[in-house]
Amino acid sequence: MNEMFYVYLVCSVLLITIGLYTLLVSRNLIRMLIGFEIMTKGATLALISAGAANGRLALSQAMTLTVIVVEVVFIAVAVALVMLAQRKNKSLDVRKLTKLKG
Amino acid sequence: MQLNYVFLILLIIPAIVAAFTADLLRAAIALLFCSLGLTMTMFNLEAPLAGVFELSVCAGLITVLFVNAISMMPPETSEEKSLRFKSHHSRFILLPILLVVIVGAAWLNRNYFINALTINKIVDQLSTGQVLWEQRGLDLIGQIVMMLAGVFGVVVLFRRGNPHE
Amino acid sequence: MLLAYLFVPLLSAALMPLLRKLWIKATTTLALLAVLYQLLISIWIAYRKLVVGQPLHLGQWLFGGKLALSIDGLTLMVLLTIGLVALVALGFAANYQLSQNRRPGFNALVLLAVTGMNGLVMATDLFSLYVFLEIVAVTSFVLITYQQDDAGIEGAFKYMMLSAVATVFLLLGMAIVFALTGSIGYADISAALNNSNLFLKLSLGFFIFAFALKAGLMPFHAWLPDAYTAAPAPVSILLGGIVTKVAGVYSLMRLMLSVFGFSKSLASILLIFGSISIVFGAFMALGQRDFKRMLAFSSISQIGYIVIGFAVGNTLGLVGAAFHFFNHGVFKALLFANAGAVEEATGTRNFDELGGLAEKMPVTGITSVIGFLSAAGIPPLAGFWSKLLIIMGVWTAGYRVCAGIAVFAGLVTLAYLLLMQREVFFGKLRAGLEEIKEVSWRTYWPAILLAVVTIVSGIFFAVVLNKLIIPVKLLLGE
Repeated sequence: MNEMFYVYLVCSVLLITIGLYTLLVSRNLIRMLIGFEIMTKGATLALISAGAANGRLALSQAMTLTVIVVEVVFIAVAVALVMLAQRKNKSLDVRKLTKLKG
Repeated sequence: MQLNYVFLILLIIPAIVAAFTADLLRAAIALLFCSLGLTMTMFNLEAPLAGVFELSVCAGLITVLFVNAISMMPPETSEEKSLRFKSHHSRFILLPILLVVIVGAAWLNRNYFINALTINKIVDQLSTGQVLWEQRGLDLIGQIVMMLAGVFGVVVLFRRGNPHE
Repeated sequence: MLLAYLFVPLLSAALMPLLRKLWIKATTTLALLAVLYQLLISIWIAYRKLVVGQPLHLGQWLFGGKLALSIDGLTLMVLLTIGLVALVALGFAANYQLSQNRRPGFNALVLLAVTGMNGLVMATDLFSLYVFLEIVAVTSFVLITYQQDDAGIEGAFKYMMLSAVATVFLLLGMAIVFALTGSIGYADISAALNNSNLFLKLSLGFFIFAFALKAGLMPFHAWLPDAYTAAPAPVSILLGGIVTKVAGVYSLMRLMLSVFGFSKSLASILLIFGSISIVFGAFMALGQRDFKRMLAFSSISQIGYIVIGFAVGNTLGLVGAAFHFFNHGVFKALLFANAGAVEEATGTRNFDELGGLAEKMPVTGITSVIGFLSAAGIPPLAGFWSKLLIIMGVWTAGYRVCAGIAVFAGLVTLAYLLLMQREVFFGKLRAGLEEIKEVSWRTYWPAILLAVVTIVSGIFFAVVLNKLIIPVKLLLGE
């Protein structure tokens, strides 16, 4: 059972890496959100496989449900913000946003 | 045992596709397939409740949100498009190298890592519904507050104010 | 009774849409009453502990016997700070330029943020901490972008993306700990912990990364200056006074105290991050010309002080860090309130356009002097005592170099705050500023309240130390 959990953990790290890379490198706001969504899938996979390896599937599923609900609200607010930015700047380019100094 | 790996492939390949493709609509559809892979993995691990939630919420709702947002983008000419594709692909060269490095490191050291994972497996007596209501009551309150915060947030973001009174 | 901390702000927020239809001016009053209630309840609990001697470990059981909320000394101090800063932020916003029909939404969001922060500090396991952390994050984004201007959208988006990364790493660390120990409650994890496990160390690393990103420690501070500067003035008060500290610094403290315990290597990592934050935050604050941006870098610096204070793990350090938590909330909120008043009166935040305001805005000038003295650590104001305790704690734990760095950075802090005072309030009155007047009392009463709190907590420090802060020490003694 440990081997399988290890495989799932590595896959979760892979997903998080893909998502993080996409988030950091993208120029389009929506692609950054897609990157975040991929990262969240990696974290959810880690959570569920931890529960499966542990035998405590009930607690793990309860946590996963809550994570999904919380993250969907987060993404909804993020998409709303992106739409607001799109309405103001007429483009979804992240470079048009950065007017403040670092 | 084999089925696990099939579902994992179904999970990771669409994620890579979603990162690589320069067309946003394809990325959203790839994200949908990624959710499907995760749902199948959850069903395989005997977590049906979480699988159903993932399917309906992530594969359904979030994809709809993204497609909605993507459709609001301004149309672009074909030369803008090829320029964007080229610059996008050039930025993603590093990703496969990174992934291969990670998989290689994980594979080569697997015995060391697996031995470090000391997991005690128990047999759980409760059902998910019981756990959710009896033990995680605070999380339920948190979910309600979060949804309220989301509703107020979106309303406030889009409501236009009257000129100064 | 602990549920009141969650339900009073929550129900007040839920009532806002109803009041918006019925009687719109009552929304601000209701919001102020809700946070005032929280402040008074916290003072009352503290009073019961100090004077009457009742035990401070209050707990709340929910739905079937599992401990869900609990308050100890540190939590009570943070709840008090939350109540005070939220009261000031809402009070400042009451007279701020917000359009009337959006104002209930603003009040509702601030109240929901307060609910989230209350839940965060009272939670007894990591997962509830995560849920309430997300609540605080989402409400903060929307509040930053409240005026729907370009700067706000950029600041909020940067904050949002970095906060999302922190969330995912927090979840990953939580999954690993859950797999290894089978539970996510503080007590259960610390009981089942075997610190030499590689994966536990890895998960601890993920936790520190996530919370340092949320707290704005260097080198993870990239979002902080933009978010603080772009937010409207009452939101800056809330952010700088309490949100960043509760989300990041309190979580780190709780993790160290209740879950992982103190160890040498952990202390070293946190000391390095903290020292870098203190020094670079102070130097970057020195070079700013925008009032709020300077205060943002100053916040990074002070958060570094709190982190090195509790990282060393002895009583002095922990007590100093807890007191500095409260003090920083008070004086940073005070300085941001002054910055907001200056911006409202003159229309600019740029040092190059300001000067000599003290004669035109006497109340703002005096309160900013008090805030600056406390921030720079000048006796007998409160900031001096908390910094002294932190430096003494770090010195006695053997980290002499770090203590020396903290003292040196204190001088740089004094330098940039003095610069701010000279540029904005003293010196010659710049051309074009002759007609400005002091802001109305509705805008400066929060500043006066905070100045009074700073003075009182500084003078009565000994009393405050023994009766309010020593309970924090009991956490270490048990």
